[in-house]
Amino acid sequence: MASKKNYMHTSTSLKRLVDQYINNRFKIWFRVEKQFIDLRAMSLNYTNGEIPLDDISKLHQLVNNIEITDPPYDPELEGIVQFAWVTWAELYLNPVFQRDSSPNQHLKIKNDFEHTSVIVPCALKLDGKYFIWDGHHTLQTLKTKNYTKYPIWFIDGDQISDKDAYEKGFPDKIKYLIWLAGTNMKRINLQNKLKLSNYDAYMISVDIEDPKFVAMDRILHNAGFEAKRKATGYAKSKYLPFTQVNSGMEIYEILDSNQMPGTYLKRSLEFHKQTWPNSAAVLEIWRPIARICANADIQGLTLDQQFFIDLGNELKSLYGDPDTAQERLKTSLQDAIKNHQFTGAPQDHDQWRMHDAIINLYNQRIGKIVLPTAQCQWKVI
Amino acid sequence: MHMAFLYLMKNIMPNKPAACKIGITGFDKAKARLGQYQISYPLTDHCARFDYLWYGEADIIQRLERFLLKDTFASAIPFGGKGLTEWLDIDGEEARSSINNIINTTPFLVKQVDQTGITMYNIDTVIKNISSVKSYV
Repeated sequence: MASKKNYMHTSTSLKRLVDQYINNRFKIWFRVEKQFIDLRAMSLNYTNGEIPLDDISKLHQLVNNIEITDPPYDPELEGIVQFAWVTWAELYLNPVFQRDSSPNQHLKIKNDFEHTSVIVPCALKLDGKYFIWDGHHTLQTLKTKNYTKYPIWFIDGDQISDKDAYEKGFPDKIKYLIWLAGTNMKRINLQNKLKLSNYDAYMISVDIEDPKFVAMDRILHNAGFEAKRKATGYAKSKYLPFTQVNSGMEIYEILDSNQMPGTYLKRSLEFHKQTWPNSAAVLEIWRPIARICANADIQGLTLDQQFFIDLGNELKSLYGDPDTAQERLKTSLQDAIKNHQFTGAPQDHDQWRMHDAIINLYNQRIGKIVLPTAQCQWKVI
Repeated sequence: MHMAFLYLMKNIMPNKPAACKIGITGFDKAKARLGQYQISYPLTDHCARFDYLWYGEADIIQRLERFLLKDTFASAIPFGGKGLTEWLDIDGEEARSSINNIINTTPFLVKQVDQTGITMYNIDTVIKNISSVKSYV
């Protein structure tokens, strides 16, 4: 365990401290924050992109303001936690420290099963029996795959004495071990689980060359954007941040009249970049534009280049930046609803409300060409 | 419509490395804010002032300030902690130029106050002059 250091971050800002460290040690800058370290950018500093774990550890220590003070510990020799291959007959479950069994979860794992993606289940060993406290559904899946041996990472209860339990405040070792297994189960499944973010899932899909993700990524880059975890702090990047990867994929997958995906994502991002060349992609601007483009195609309407220029100029002159534009357009509908000054039915979802808002704005302020119909009409300005 | 200022204050300490502070305040609170900054100095030594001001609707001013601190000037904030995170270690004129550049290129619908060196003695006039400009936004 590492302990707290109190003197390091008291005055210098974390960003400054990290920047100094990176400038001294690395040629290529990468983003380091408490929430994440951009490992893809960091890996550019290494041959073949292979980052020693020790370098990441040093960054974690710097950001968290901790240093390693514990004496060296060899768990293989000194630990009560060990690894074993065990038989099915040796495996047990104590419901005190395991959740109820879910056949659905078992089926979910089974349907996506791959031998190389088995995470080692955890157990508590007592009197030769292995009581599972994490990975029960994985084991049930391995059983249906007819495994004859099961990998287990276990706490060796036989190495713990009643005296150890008394010292921890428990009446006997069984009570202590049950508490330990239950607490570990909560630690792993509830408290310390870092969910894979949409951004990480997207980047992994691009890196493993999933065709549709690669295609979407190319569209982003061609339009001047790059998938990022956050919209700010990328002044050094030649691409503008695009943070809405799931919505991006949803729009990418809309097929045009030639049954091709990506057309509307491309058009809407080009519009965004052309209108606001220095702004991060704002979801409720580019997404409704993509919807308008798709609907126009379905209805046989043509949106020429002049449409995008006129609309962009109008949005900029009325609202300035894209965030303000989408905020004000949404507010205009809220005001219309509040004052009962609208016709038709207001849409439920923001992307469709913005779809209607932009169409209404264009019709009321420019009106040069025919656009798809807005489900709800109101006076936007 | 709630209006607000983005202000820029230069470092008043002579012969010190470059530094300046940015912040925001509502029209209705700007004078009180100057009063707060005055508390640390006798008037005979220093009259608290906003060296440069920009104004606009409050939500846009807030958005602009957030962008400046999180993006444009993120690397120029030397210290962390209360009262420190709006201080930049760059010259006030350089910061002013960067702010104007961001306002023009993003763009943010805010305007710069022509007058410089705004104190508690002339801020009311500045606000009155802005309020009388009907064509704004």
